[in-house]
Amino acid sequence: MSQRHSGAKNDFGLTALLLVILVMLLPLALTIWLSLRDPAGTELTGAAWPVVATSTEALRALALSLFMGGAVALLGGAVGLPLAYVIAVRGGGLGRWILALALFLWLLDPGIRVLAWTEALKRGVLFDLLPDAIRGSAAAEFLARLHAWLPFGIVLQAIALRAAPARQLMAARECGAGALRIFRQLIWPACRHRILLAGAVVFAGASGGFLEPRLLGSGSFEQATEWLQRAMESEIGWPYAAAMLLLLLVLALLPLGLLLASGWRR
Amino acid sequence: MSTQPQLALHDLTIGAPGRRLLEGYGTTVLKGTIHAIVTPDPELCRHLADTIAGFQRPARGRIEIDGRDLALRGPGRRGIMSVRADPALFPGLTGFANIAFPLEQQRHGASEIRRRVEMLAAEIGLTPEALASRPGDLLPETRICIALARALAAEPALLLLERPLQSLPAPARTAFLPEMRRLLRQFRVTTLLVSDDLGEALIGADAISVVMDGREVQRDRPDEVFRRPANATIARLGGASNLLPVTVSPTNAESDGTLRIAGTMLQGGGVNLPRDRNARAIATGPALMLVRPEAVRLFLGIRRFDVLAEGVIADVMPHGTGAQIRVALDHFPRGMLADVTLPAPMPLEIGRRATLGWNRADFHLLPPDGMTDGQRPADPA
Repeated sequence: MSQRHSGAKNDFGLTALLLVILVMLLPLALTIWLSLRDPAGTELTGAAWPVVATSTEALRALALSLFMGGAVALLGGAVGLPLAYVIAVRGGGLGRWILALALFLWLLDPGIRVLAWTEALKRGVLFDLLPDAIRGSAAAEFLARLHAWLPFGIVLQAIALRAAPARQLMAARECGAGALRIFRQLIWPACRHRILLAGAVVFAGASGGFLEPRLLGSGSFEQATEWLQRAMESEIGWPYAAAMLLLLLVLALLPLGLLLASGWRR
Repeated sequence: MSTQPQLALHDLTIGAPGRRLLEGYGTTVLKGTIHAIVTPDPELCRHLADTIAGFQRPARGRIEIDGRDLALRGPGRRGIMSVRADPALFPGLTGFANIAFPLEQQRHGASEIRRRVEMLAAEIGLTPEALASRPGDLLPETRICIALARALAAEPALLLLERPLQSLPAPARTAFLPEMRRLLRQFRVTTLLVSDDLGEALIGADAISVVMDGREVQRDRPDEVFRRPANATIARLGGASNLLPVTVSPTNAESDGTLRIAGTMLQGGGVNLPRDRNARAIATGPALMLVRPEAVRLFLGIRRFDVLAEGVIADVMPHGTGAQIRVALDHFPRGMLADVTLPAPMPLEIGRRATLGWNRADFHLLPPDGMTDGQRPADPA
């Protein structure tokens, strides 16, 4: 009786899992199909791929997107790690407050974020003291992207630092070691792989941001997302856009994949 | 021995309201002495050590070192170094670098660090190979020695030991105790030991506080706690124990100041005990008679014993140069443990009848399980 009940529950769980996978993977499958479709016709020729792969404009946009993702991951890591250290290692009231703040910022509506940054940087309403060059520039996009991904990065880094050997950290603190030495000698060797994984996740996400470049970006810093926008606005551009999207996806996920593969090998 | 307190705990309370691990505990540890706090609760050991070292705040109370309140001092600024159940050596560093770690934080020069580490290593008995190896390649005993050397290198005001031998298997722990005792006696640093093992406290503590259910139930010299524990739980913390249910009653010659200790398993109806021998033995009613296995002998009709009990050998457990036997007593099948030196004066065969004997000086009366001395049933008389 109980086995039948358990079996029914498992069937339900399996169905739900399949549905989720289907819903998540269907857009990917459609994008792959679209990228293979001939831009001028309906047959599957894969003609869009060589065009995108050899287009200077497309590759430049792709490189700028990846550069932006890398910069966000690096600076986010530099800013986020000390905060993640307080959350995961030092704990206490301060750690809890920082975690709550990070979660709040993470959950903040992207619309609010974009609206505020657009207002502050493009129109210069809030920060008149900022140099004009920052408004509507790559710096503006970078700040908006950092704002979007930093809280997520902090939470991921905090999870990564949970793997730090707590008793050894305590012993080091008792010996009077400072945070930098503790990080260099204990945390980095023990959590290096997880910290890099967290960075790779932030890189993957930050490389494919859509909304902010459209609203904050300038024509001189056209990233993959803006290139995509133009491609999708043209009559026959959708297969090119699909090929570009898949290229971006593969390149953005490449570090994550490499790190995961090296983790599995170990 | 100094009379100046080095560590003082005042009204120390740990744990959330409704789930107090420690309630209003206070003690002082004199300079150069070793004080042990023994509790059956390993969680309390960890929290108490973390609180004293500054890794967590007490719910209430004050911790002082040399008269200075430590409330605003974090770990590393308290003058406290610890050796924990997990020695927590730094895995990427050699034994030498582990010991040198606190000295580097104190900004000593390289030559001074080398001199101090080598001196400590020589005193503790660490080989050059141990100093050159990483912790993962060392024996557990050596890891403890390096953790101790690391703690002592910083010349702390207080050495905090939290179940320091727990990482060793039981036989190695027993074998390593004398070495630990030698090292602590040699360095004479003020030490607080927190442990759930009374045996660990015998590393040379000058005094032992036994804490149960968050409160101190006994404070005494180690040998007194071992020989005359306040209750059965403390007796069990001290290792293998025989706890026989007996009844304590006034004798006809009560005016002589004697009590009758009787139990169905005891031959001759039991034994008379002078009232003044042990204040804890005065109360009458049900009680437990504690006899350590090493005090129990095989009775062969030659030597005289105050108390005799007869039964059947139920188990023989050889160890070292002797054996521990369990004799299932008539009317007490759980039986008694007795240490026997080999060769034994009689064949140790399972099923063979044997009589065990012990003397008045070797037993101690305890309140029934679940009670301490202060909770003994009232004297019906």
